[in-house]
Amino acid sequence: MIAGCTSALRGEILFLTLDTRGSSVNVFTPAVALELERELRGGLAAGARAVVLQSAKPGSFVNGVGLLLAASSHTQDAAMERARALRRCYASLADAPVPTIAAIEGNCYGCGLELALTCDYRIARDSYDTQFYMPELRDYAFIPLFGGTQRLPRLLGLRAGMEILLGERLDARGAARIGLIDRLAPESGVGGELRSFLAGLRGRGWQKRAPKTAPVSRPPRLEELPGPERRLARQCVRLARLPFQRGYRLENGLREELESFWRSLGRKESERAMSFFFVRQAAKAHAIGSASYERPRRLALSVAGHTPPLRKLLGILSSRHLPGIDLRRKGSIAFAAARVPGAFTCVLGAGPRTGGDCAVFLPFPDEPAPVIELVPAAEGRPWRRGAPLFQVLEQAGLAPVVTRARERFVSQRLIRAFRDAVGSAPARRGLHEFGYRLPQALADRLRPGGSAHGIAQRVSAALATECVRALDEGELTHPSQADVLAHALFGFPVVHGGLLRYVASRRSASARAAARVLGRTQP
Amino acid sequence: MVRSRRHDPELFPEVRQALQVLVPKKLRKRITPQASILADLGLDSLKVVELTMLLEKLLGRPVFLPEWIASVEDPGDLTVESLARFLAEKR
Repeated sequence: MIAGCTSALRGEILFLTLDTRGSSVNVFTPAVALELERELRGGLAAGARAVVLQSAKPGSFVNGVGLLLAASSHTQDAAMERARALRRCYASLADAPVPTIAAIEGNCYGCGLELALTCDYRIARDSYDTQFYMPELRDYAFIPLFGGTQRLPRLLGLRAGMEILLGERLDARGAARIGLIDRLAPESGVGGELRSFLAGLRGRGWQKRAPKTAPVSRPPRLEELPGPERRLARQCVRLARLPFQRGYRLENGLREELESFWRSLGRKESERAMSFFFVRQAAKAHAIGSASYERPRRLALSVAGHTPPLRKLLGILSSRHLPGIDLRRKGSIAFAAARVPGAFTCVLGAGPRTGGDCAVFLPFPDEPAPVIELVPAAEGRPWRRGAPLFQVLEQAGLAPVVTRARERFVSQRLIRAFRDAVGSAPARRGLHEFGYRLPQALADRLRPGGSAHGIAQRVSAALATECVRALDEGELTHPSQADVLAHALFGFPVVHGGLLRYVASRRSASARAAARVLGRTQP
Repeated sequence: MVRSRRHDPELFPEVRQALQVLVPKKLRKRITPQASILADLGLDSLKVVELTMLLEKLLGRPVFLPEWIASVEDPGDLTVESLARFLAEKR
């Protein structure tokens, strides 16, 4: 049975195709890695002059390595053995004696980006769902383990390499601008660009790319990161500096990286951060009935009206290159201005619909991943009718949350609760040290100072209390939605797990209420 | 603690019922207390989210499986039996 990698030798070129069985996205498991290694060895033995690594999943080059494995690995020997099997596959691709090309269509996350980095060349499709992102430090609080800390700074220099390791998200154009990819292919696909690139390689006698290290540059300022992210970031900078040292050898750098990975994985912060992945997916499943990634076949979005938030939304959607999605044509999805200031309604399906299918609120449109709250008009849940809209918004880099708000959006309630909890107290430093990544619009209004133990506890308790109220009133239908809102709106730190679980672990009235909605007794 | 097949753990019927929805037909006969949800039943992290939702519906209370996932020593210990035991303890 094939786990997820097949090969075909066409002409002199070996095509390795990733297609994880039974999953909507590619997951790079040890079984897939073994297959890739075997197919590569076979293809090279059969005389391949070049290797192309590609994906058969629409919208996913490789999304991850299988979080279940990482989250449940606590005995070092077994986990190291598994990691070694995967790393052998990376090494065999990096050591292939012929030129290797990653043809990237769809998201290239974490170990997928590290896999693409073992190739000599990278070509990527210019589309909204081809994003480059290293979630390890930012989302899971561990050090990457498949060469990212070595190959990214080597290719891009210390600064740009570290920025990606710290969680900067790039689309294909951004990746081309900084040299992460070599060729940008049109949104129709990488085929044409790949053919011309291979013809060029053939013309030059199938030469491999000569190894080169980018000039060293200054690393980003780590003191600007929220408190809990700094310790790991410092370790990561130490690793990222290695390639610029005299006498550097990649295998030594990779060994140090693996040791750092193991130390970071064993910590509570990482355990809680990984658990947040499940919280996020549970919120999505409760919202639209499925946690999986599905790319709608064709969708028309029409943004009517000229309120500032609508113009912002149109700007965000237009800038993310959504293929197959017509933004102007009146049709399947229409956004129209509503009477509530800052809100608009959305109509799904052809023809006008009184009142719209859902009300939409975009509180902080200037943020890199802005929250968009969707309130369906229909009672039924999950909101399957809204699933294509949710998927498109999510893939366009927004953070959609479905609520059952009645008079005010739940985001508005939470923003009010946040402001009331802060009042006029010094708060900026305290919240930052605790780990909150606040939207600029909120951070700018805070007074400097405050302590992580004082103000951050007060704010967290107030947000949890408001979330519990919204849950009790049925405006939020599952605790995971509260956690996702707190994270997406205020950047509640993943190293503490979800907001409700964090607050429930303390001792106060809000802790008891949070524990109650989570269905657990307090310790 | 190893239990014999004759004494299925508490809540095993509920866990089996939820897994039968998620596990491909060919693999369903493998749903035994000792089966590993990764190696034997082929679940991935997204499937675990769906499993959570099904269990919440069956048990009528919130379920948080990351606590179970983090509680084992090795991924091979994520068995059907250990899940049933975790759910019973959290009751």
